Amino acid sequence: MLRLAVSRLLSAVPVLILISIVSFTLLRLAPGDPALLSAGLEASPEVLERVRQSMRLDEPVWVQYWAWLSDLLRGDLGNSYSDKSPVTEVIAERLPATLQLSAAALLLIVAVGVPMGILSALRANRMADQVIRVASLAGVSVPNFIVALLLVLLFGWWFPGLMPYEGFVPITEDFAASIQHIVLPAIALAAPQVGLVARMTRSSMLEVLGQDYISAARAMGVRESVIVCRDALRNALLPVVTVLGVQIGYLLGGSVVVETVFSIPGIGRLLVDSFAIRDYPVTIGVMMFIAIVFVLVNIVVDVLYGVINPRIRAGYEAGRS
Amino acid sequence: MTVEPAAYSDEVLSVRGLGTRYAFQGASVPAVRDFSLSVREGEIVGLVGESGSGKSTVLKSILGMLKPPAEVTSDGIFLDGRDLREVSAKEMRRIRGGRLAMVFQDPINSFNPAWTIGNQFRRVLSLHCPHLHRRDYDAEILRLLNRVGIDGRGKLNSYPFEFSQGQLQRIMIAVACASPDLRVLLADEPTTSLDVTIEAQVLELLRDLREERGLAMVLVTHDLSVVAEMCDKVVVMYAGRVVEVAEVHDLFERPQHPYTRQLLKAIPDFPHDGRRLYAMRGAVPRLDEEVPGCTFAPRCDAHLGDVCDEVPPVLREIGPDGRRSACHKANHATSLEETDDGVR
Repeated sequence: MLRLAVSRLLSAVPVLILISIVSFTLLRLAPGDPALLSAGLEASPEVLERVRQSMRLDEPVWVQYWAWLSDLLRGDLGNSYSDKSPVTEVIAERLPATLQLSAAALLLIVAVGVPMGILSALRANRMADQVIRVASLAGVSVPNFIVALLLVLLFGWWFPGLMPYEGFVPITEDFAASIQHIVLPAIALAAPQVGLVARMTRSSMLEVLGQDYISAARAMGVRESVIVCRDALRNALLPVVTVLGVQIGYLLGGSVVVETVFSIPGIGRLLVDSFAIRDYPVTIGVMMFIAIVFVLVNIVVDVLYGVINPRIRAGYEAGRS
Repeated sequence: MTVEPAAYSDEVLSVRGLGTRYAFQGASVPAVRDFSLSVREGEIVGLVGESGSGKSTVLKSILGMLKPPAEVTSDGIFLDGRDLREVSAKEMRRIRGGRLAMVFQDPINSFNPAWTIGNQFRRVLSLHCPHLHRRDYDAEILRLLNRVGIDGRGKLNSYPFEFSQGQLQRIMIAVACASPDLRVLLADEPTTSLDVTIEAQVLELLRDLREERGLAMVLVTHDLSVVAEMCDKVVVMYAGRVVEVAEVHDLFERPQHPYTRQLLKAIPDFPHDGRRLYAMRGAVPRLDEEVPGCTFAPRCDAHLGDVCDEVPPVLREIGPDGRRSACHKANHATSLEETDDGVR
């Protein structure tokens, strides 16, 4: 198991380097000049040149990249152009909001999507199933910025005062207010994934319920509720867990839009805001942070999969000996 | 036969007028029609027929495992004289795996891949051996495994995929026989997925269990050699109906229904004379196809003419020991024997 984790970690390194090269290059290719934004539009060409030099923007891109990468390996993501504070600090400051939002959305996905899928499978082709299938298809098809805008419209314009529709309160500060503020953004962020998880759970559950070992358990007089909860669910959730893992990555990506709509000071909005002022160190820092989380989560899911599935575990152990 | 069926005269399981319908493309189609069966203590009854003839459906219907939209109707399914139709759902769960157990066709898929063998076994003990204390479970499991020829020491924490097919089939039989109250074992093609030497061992095991515990068995198979080796009595099914019932020797020596004859004829001779092998033409009719006359008529080598195509034959008594056949020709059983000499 440890060997597996280590080998996956090693194979993640080239992936991350590739991501960093691509993002770094794309960022430099984007129009806009940070020096100009920093020095002001009225700055004379000489001043502008000096600013550019101080930002090391006059060097070739690959030199800049190399400098950035060697700093990164020392754990230094550079300083923000705008307020000169270290990028790591800027990210750390914005992280709690995103974490809280993602956690709430993930909770919603699991708490709503999985039971919906199970119910749908147990009532296959009956009324409840049809309703859930249509609803989850709708959820999957509607992008989360539409859901977010609709929610803002609903609670901000048509029924104002029912729910807070913007801003963020840290959970450590005021628990109730924090939960209230997170509900709408979490729904917007979770909606497409809830549908996806419900559909995955349904099909996986139906497949497992058709297996011989379910009939065998039934033939041995096991109670139906036990068959569903113990025999079927564990096997049915294996593929769902994988999807959930990948979704954590998407939650971070999706939070870019949702945080912007609901004015939540998370890293998603940090990404958008920093790009708007071409604050390169912050933008690339956030991008790398999301990439690293994405890759790490996938590794954790891979390893966890082995923990849940004895066959795969045996495969690892056989590979080790 | 090692056991004289007459030695056990008590009827353990009796099924009368069983009908099962499945939902198929929005319609309800019959999978089994007017099926009756009687099994005595210590008796092994074979249920034979091609794939799709309704054999497995019969077993599942008896165990009450079919859920709507499948419909099961009958004039009675009696286990030790008790009508299972009148038993509560809770009681039925106690009977399943308790007095009436089933062995499945595909052992590797009949165990939950995520649980150890020990855990799956322990659960069955907790359901059907209430007298047993939890700490004695493992000893009991080892004893039961020993009976099917498996040394389970140190293997209870292994997962199903760590055993071979033959071992798993033995373990499944051990699980099915875990209840001390077991009366009838329903075996759904228990050896189909095994290779021939393992098959012989498993059949041997089933025969031993019958002798040791006086178990009655219903053995579903499409393999006539298994029938010849194991069964006392045979029920031949075709397209969801019983077409012939006979003592095993009678069936092989004097098959009455043309379907049975053609089945027997399809077994290749050894050594083979080099001529083309006999294969039955046509295929089993689809479930949703309504056949006005005999369902076997289109494939029958002894077709009598219009009567076969238009009038459904009735399963009627044609001899002693419950000999029955559903064929218009069976009315003239004696003349039939005179005209056709044997099967081959």
